[in-house]
Amino acid sequence: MIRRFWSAPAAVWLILCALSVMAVVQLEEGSSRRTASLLVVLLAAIKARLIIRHYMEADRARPVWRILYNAWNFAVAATLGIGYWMSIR
Amino acid sequence: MHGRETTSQLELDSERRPGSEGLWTFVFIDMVIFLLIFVTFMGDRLGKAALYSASQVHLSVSLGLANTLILLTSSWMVVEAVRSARARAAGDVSRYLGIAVLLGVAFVANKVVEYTSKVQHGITPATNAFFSYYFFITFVHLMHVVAGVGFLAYFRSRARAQTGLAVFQRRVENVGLFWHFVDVLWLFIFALLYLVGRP
Repeated sequence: MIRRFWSAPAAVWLILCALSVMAVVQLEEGSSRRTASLLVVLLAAIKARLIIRHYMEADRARPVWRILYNAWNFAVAATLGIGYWMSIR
Repeated sequence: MHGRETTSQLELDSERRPGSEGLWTFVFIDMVIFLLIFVTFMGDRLGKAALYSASQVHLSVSLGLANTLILLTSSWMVVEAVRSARARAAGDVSRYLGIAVLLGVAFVANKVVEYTSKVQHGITPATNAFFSYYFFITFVHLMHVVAGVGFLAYFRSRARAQTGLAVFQRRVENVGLFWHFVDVLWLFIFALLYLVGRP
């Protein structure tokens, strides 16, 4: 039951919207800019993962696409996160 | 008998792989190009963190968030259109694609408002390195949105006549794959330009 709700497009959309608003609010209200910026990257990666899995249906595509698309998601998040961290050191 | 055949066909459709191999490849190549652009941006940011942070203040987080919610909603509508195409429900395919098109147009309108505001305040691609990237990245993404809206509108116009065809179902899955990619790109562009490092 919980698994079906989690996989439903409307539920995924609701979670994606909530995470988007959360990213902005925690950046505006959070005390530490550094932590807030890194959290923004983490939330973007989680949202991308949800879209790749549930909307693009990458898990039902050939395994190579699931691996490459998830690797791309990780690479972009690492680029933003590490790039930002290095720029403030 | 007919109902049993239809059920079997639906089961077959739900078991096969979504989209075409060519589209998965095309989208991945496009993804890698954007990854390289992001790497270049973050590399340039290393030596100019103060300039980039000061420039980010001129971007509207509200407009960026609005566009995020618009694209997320349109992506959901496209998912529903794909599910409707698999169920051979022509009316639903047309309706969901129509909403997705309207939301895509709303994204473009929002972007035009944002660009106009920047130019009116004297901000152009020549202002500094950050705004060169801002205009370049968002404009290339905007062209993807415009292309996606065109594809969605085209398949909406074909929905009533072709929804029963297996090839149409595959094409709607392909345009959906492209549209979700455009959505994912925007999630990272919003974080990259508007949020990360904002003072």
